[in-house]
Amino acid sequence: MQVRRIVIAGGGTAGWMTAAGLSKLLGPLGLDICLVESEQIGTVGVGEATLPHMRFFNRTLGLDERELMAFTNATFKLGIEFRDWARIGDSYVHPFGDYGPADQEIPFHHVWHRLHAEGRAGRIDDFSLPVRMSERGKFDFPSTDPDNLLSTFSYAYQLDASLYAKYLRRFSEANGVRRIEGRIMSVERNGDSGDIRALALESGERLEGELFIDCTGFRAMLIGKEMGAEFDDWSNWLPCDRAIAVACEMAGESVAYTRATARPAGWQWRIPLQHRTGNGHVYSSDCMSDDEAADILLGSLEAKALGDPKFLRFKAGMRPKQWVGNCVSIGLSSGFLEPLESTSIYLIQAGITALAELMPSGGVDTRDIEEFNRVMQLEYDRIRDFLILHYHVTERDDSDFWNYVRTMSIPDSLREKIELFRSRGVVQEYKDGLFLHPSWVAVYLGQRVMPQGRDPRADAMDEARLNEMLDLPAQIERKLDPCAAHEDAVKSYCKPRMAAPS
Amino acid sequence: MSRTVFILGDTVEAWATGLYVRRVLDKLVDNVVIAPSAEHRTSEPSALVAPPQTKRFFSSLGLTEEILFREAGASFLLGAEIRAQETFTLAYGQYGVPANSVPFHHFWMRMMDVDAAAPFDHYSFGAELARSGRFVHPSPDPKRIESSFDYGYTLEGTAFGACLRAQALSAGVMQASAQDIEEVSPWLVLDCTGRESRGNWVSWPDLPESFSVDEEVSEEPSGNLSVYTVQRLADGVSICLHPRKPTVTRRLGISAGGECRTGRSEAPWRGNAVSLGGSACQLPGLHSPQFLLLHAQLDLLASLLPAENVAVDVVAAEYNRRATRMMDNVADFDALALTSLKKAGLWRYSAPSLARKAEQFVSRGRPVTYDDELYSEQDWIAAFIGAGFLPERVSPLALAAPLEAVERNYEGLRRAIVQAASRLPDQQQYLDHLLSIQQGAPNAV
Ligand SMILES: Cc1cc2nc3c(=O)[nH]c(=O)nc-3n(C[C@H](O)[C@H](O)[C@H](O)COP(=O)(O)OP(=O)(O)OC[C@H]3O[C@@H](n4cnc5c(N)ncnc54)[C@H](O)[C@@H]3O)c2cc1C
Repeated sequence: MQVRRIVIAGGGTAGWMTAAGLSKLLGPLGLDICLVESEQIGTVGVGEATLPHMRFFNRTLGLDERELMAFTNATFKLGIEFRDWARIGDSYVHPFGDYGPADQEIPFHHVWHRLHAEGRAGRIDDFSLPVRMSERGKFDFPSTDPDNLLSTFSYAYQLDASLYAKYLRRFSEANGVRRIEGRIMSVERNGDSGDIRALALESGERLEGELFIDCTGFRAMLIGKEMGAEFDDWSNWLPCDRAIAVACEMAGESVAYTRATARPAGWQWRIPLQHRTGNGHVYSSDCMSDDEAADILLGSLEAKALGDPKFLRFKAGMRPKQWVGNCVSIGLSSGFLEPLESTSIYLIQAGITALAELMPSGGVDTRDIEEFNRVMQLEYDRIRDFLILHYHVTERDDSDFWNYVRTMSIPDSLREKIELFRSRGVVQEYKDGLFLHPSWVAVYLGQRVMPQGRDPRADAMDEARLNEMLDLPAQIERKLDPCAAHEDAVKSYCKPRMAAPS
Repeated sequence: MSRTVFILGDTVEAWATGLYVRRVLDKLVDNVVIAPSAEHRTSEPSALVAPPQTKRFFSSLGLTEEILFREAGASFLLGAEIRAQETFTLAYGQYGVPANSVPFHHFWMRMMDVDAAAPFDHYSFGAELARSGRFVHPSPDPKRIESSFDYGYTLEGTAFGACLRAQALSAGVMQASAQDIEEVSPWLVLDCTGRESRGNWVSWPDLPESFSVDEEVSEEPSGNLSVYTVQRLADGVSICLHPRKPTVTRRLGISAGGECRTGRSEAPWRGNAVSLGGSACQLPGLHSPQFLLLHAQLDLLASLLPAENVAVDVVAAEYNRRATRMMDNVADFDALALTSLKKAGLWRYSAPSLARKAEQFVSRGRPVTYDDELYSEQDWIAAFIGAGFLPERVSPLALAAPLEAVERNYEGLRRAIVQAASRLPDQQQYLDHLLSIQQGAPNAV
């Protein structure tokens, strides 16, 4: 059946990003897109830290960055600081950028390994501009000149995701998306094909369509309950299954990075926006009670809590079939990976891009379904391994939780990666999917996985070149000296634009 | 312990490898010794193709364009001319230009649907240059049409072999006999004999079991220098190559019982021995991936060199994982190239990797590529279209622009291509000019 009407079920971040993306990219095809959401049910209401890829999504939509940042109370994000992960007292930044000079003959961490072993270099962090920019509380935009040190990083945002969804709603409606307020009560299927024919709302209204996009969040009303797409449970590797979230007033200056502090049975986030700080505690209910988790979170807030804490439950994993029949899942309905590396919004974006490229012209084609599922599986697998890495390469033995994750068996794909780095400092690279070479280096070294050996070419490097490299930290500091403080950079960038609704 | 690298074989690959080790890994290695092996490939090809990616390889070997012209009979190469039912120019570089990040071939399909498209290869500046036998170095300005292509070289086999040998010897590569080798224990042994290495050999389901080089004829130079031509024969393939001189026609037999068993080594790195080039991988190679593979293998080897206090197995396993994937990807490209000579469009592949690529391309024009590809998405797209695989449906993102505007834009591009190419010199003239400058001032190129 020709796809003319697309029904998006759910109006959280996933629903409105999908509506905005599809209406922009496929608008000229005359598709009829409607979105149904229920204020009564509401959204998950968390998800504030993002990855640099979001900028490309916004750019494709043609959004004005200043206006968007002002509207969503956004700050810039240069990376994530991890505290207490390998040992209590440790800290490192996983930057959106690289280590070492802009031009590299061999991956810089091998050179650093040598210089460090010879006692000539301290932290590798001092060789990364985005790490130092974060630490010094500064911000500037990346340069497009590849010879400029300011070209060695990228940035993302920390924003109020519900305002982002609101912003996209306005954009989508202006682009012809119809919004329907209402609660979906049941799903009508076509007896022969099993495809979804319509959604029946509480009001009695029926929403017919040829393609249905499940953005109903954890409920997975269409893809899970109706279409029966199975869920691959990854909780043996990622045992955190609960979170408590609460915002607090700003204390001190806002910084351009998210913080993830390890706790006895999980970890706690801190995400500074312009006007408040988002906080949350992610933990394993096997190892900690909700009360204890709440005490830890509330006891560590830097300032007065704004509102009551919100309790959330989830399970790590994904649906290998994210597209079944004429139903595609995007967002939390498709799977969940904890927000340790802020990957959920990225996964939404990946789903939208793949769907736009594979949007049925004519009827739904199984080849499109298979390709969509293949691409999304790859994305999930790669993020999964990277997240497990954070837990597994630890020396912590101060709680049942850390003893479990440190000693658990891990996917073969990850085990090979870790062995290779541990022995010879080689980062196993891949072409598609998230997290490039520097991200892996950041977490390995940040969590004390020091390679036994290194690339012998680092030992053959001549003194003049080594001295150039050793001068890099000083060059970085000089580059950063004139940069504005992050807070001032945000203020002056967003100031003249529309403010967020109160 | 002194670090000695032994290279087995008196082949082009062996000398290139020796030179690479001396130039790129010089400080890490004490001695580089080449020893002919009783088993090495007996005849070297009279002409060799070096695709664009190998420019970086040559540059790491210290082989400048000037040296290649002076000593290896090089001519500029812009791609292949595939002569099947229709002739298709598989050029290096871009076909059309993307619009709003949507690749050109989707728009081309839209124009095809209304019979308003010229052949696909008429939207490529590289292909236009190749067809017309013209040449100029690409422009560094990305806004100019003259920047949208790339080039490689065709080299004269014997001269290039001699050039590599001379360069390697002067860079300090030593020669020894097979007996000498038995007396010293090397740090690494690089098998460049060009003969199938011992150990398990894995075959590819979409390539013929075996092949052979049945004949190689060298003649007075004739034909278009800018391309090599690939053509089907009753029992094989004929490939005609154009170094400056001579013109070499190679006849590949691809029926059963050929002297070379198609396939690759299951584990090219074992212990301290690594098989490279032809000893790791044998395939008909219609697009001559010899240097492409050797370069990729050597770069990979360099990035995984054994380090002190690390078990060699660890790096060997990683090398084998990646190198075999590279070879499999190249084999898929070769299988597609063979298809392009047959009746197109009806082809089914057995290797899951290639079957998926073909399926997705036909379904929607999506270029699926994997880790460790040596060919770009653009290469795959052109190869599929050249082989007669046409997408049944285009990307919906390509449907957003009005057809009229699409036609206007790309017709404009096609005209601009023809016009820009027509202003350029014939390759022979360009070469004569370069050579005359070189003779006057050796560093001018
Ligand atoms: C603790 C936690 C922290 C997170 N932190 C981050 C982060 O830092 N960065 C990041 O990128 N992501 C983060 N995420 C993920 C992020 O919150 C989600 O990916 C994002 O909000 C998208 O959610 P969603 O739209 O899929 O679901 P939801 O927000 O749950 O939206 C579901 C929608 O479906 C509607 N709906 C459901 N049932 C019905 C029905 N029967 N009838 C009508 N409408 C219905 C709801 O009304 C709602 O509009 C986090 C998630 C959690 C749990």
